[in-house]
Parts: sequence; C-alpha cells; structure tokens
Amino acid sequence: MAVALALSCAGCFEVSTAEVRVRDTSAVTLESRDGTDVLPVGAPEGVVGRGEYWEMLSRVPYEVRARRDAAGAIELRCDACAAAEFPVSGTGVIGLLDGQGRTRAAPSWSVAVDSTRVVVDYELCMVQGHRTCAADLPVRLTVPARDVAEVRRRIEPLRLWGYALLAFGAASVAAATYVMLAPGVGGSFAERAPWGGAVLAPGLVLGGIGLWEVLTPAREQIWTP
Amino acid sequence: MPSLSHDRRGRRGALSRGRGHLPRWLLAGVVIASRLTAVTLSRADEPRPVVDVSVLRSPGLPVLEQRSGDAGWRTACVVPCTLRLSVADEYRIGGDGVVDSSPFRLPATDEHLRVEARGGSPLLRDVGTLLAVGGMAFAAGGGAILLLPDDANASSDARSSKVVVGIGFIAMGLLATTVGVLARLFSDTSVRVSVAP
Repeated sequence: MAVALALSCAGCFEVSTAEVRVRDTSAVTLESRDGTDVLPVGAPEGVVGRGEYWEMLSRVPYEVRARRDAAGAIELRCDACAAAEFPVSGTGVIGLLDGQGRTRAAPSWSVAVDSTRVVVDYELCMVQGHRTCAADLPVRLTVPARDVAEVRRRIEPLRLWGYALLAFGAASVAAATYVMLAPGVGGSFAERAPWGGAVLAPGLVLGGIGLWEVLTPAREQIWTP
Repeated sequence: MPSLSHDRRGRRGALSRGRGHLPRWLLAGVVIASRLTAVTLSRADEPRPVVDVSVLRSPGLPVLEQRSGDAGWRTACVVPCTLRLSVADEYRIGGDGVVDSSPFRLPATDEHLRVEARGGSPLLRDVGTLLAVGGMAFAAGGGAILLLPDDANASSDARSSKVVVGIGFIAMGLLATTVGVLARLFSDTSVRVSVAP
C-alpha cells in the first residue's frame, strides 16, 4: 500500500530547505535545544553533549564539542564518533557555519525568523545505527537579526525519488522490449504486444514523472531584513 | 439626409444648449470623477495600520498575498515583514510549497497589528487526500466483499475467511481514512491576527 501511495503521489515529493547568510560570524551562538549555551558570543569551544553508543558488544563513550575557528566557522567534532565501526557508522565533523557566514542548510520548517533573531534548529546524527541514531544531537544556531544578511529559502523536487522513478521507467522499457522482441519468448509479436504494452505504459508514465522530478529547476526566495 | 442632420442638431441642442443642460460626456465625466473621488476619500479615510507579519515555522516559500476588490492575488511581501496595509483589502498567507490560508481581513484600527501564521505542507495535504480517498475505496471494497453472496458450495472456513477479509479491508480503510483526514486537518495554514502589545 505504501508503494502504491508513493507511486500515486509520484510528482508531489518536494524538499524545502533554508540557509542563513550572516554578516558577522562571531555574533552567532550555539545552544542545545533545552536552551543551554554551548557556544556563546566570543567562546571558541564548548561541549555539546556526551553519551555512549553500542558497538557490537561494547559501549563506546563519546563527546561532541563545538568549535569556532579564527574565520568564525562553527563545526561539531566527535573523534569517538568518527571511529565508530560495524554495525554503526559515524561522522567525525559536521560544519554548521562556514567562514563566509553561510549556515548549513536546514529544512525550512526548522528555520524560525522573527524580528529579533533567526533560529535554526538542527537534528544531527553523528553515529548512525540501523534505522536509528545512536548519537543524536539536537542543537540550535541563533543569529541576531542585525547580523542576518539574508535567508535563502529553496524548494526543489526530491531528486533521489526522481532518479528512482527514472530507473523504474527504464527497467519497464527494457522488460517490455524483452517481452515483445526477444526470440526466446513464445507467441507471435501480435500476441506478445499487449503484455509488453501493459508493462511499457506505466513505466513510461512513471519514467516521465521521474524525468520531471530530475529536471525541474529549484525555486528560490530570498528574504532580507 | 436633411432631416437626419436636422435631427442631430436638434438632439445636440436639446442636450447642450437648447434647455441649458450639460453635455452628456461632461455629465458622465462628472459622475465618474465624483465616484472616484468618493472611493479615494473613503480609502484615504480608512485606517492603514502597521502590521507585523510572521510565519514562525513553514515549509516552502511563504509570502503574504493581497487582493483588492475583484483583482487577483498579488504578493505583498516575503514574510516575515512589517508594512502598512489597507483594512479594505483581503489577505492570505500563501506561496510556493505552502498551503494557502483562508482569506482574512484586518480589523479597522490604526493600532499596530500582528499577523502570526503557521504554514501548512502541501505534501502532507496531498498525502492526506490520497489516504482519505484510498481508505474510503478500501473500506468500500471490504463492504462489497461482505455483501457478496456466498458460494452455495463454500465451506464454513471459506465463509469465515471472507468475513475476516471483508472486516480487515474495512478496518484498514477506516484507519487510512482517519489518518488522511487528520493529515489534511494538520496541513492547513493557520493565521492569527492580534493587536501588537
């Protein structure tokens, strides 16, 4: 049923993201989601969280630290997470703000803009288990309104979904061609054509939708204070 | 021809000079001008409050849209924004990738107003519609299975299986419909207009 639902809503999968461009990177602060300051203005480093994740039969302790470099870039580092091994996989560094003052893109839903500040909520994962996150990291980047140069919102079709539909369409065309033209398949072409057509038609429709999802350009909106 | 030209002259005379009336074009002009002046004056008289428009959480590219009279919707600003708006116009929160809110008007006041909105997701709305419609079709299918007459030679096991399948279809259909309706409800764009403190 889920597949039927997904296919019937083939063209409606879009993803919308937002990123903030900041004038003064030193004014950006990082908090945990409960409001605890992790990286206040001027602070070069802070602890975001500590915990343990399971790696096969042992528990591995980890500590995630936020670091602000000389250019003002903010990144999260976790050495123990980078060393994670099967059955989990980890990430050692996640950048939240680059030296040019551009934040990591977040879902539009997670970006709140008001008259005093722009808040970007991130749901990050530094150790990925099987379908779950073994070291999740909910953090909040806050930019004072006076330091916001622009908020760039972007909406585009889910390209991965488009490629999947395109592959499905290509496979359908290949299967239909085989059914209709392969010498090994019994019956005349006239007898085989309806079966081939039945495979080809939905494949072409879904492949077309996939092509649309892949080729449709992203739409962008720029908000300036 | 002479009578026609005479006729024309006569009619003109009756309208313009003969009985001391204003020319028709002038009368029409005066009427239109007075109407326009009245509209302009009433527009000038109506309050134009300063409004803070914010959409705290929203998917897509949210904007405030404005409609004057019978004209179409046009973008008033990219939210959040602060601007002076006419209370005579209609507004809504919309934009690419955002479910349009219901149209709303501003209260006739000069006070500083605040419009707070929460943007709804078209994807959630579309999935909700699909689930609701698909669920109803599923439930109807279950009902049809139950209503189908039993085969005279069917065993009791086959009959009970038919009932189980029918009830299963109805239950799954109703569940999907409920989820779909809830998804549609939660995908609405809500707007709250209040006086700023």
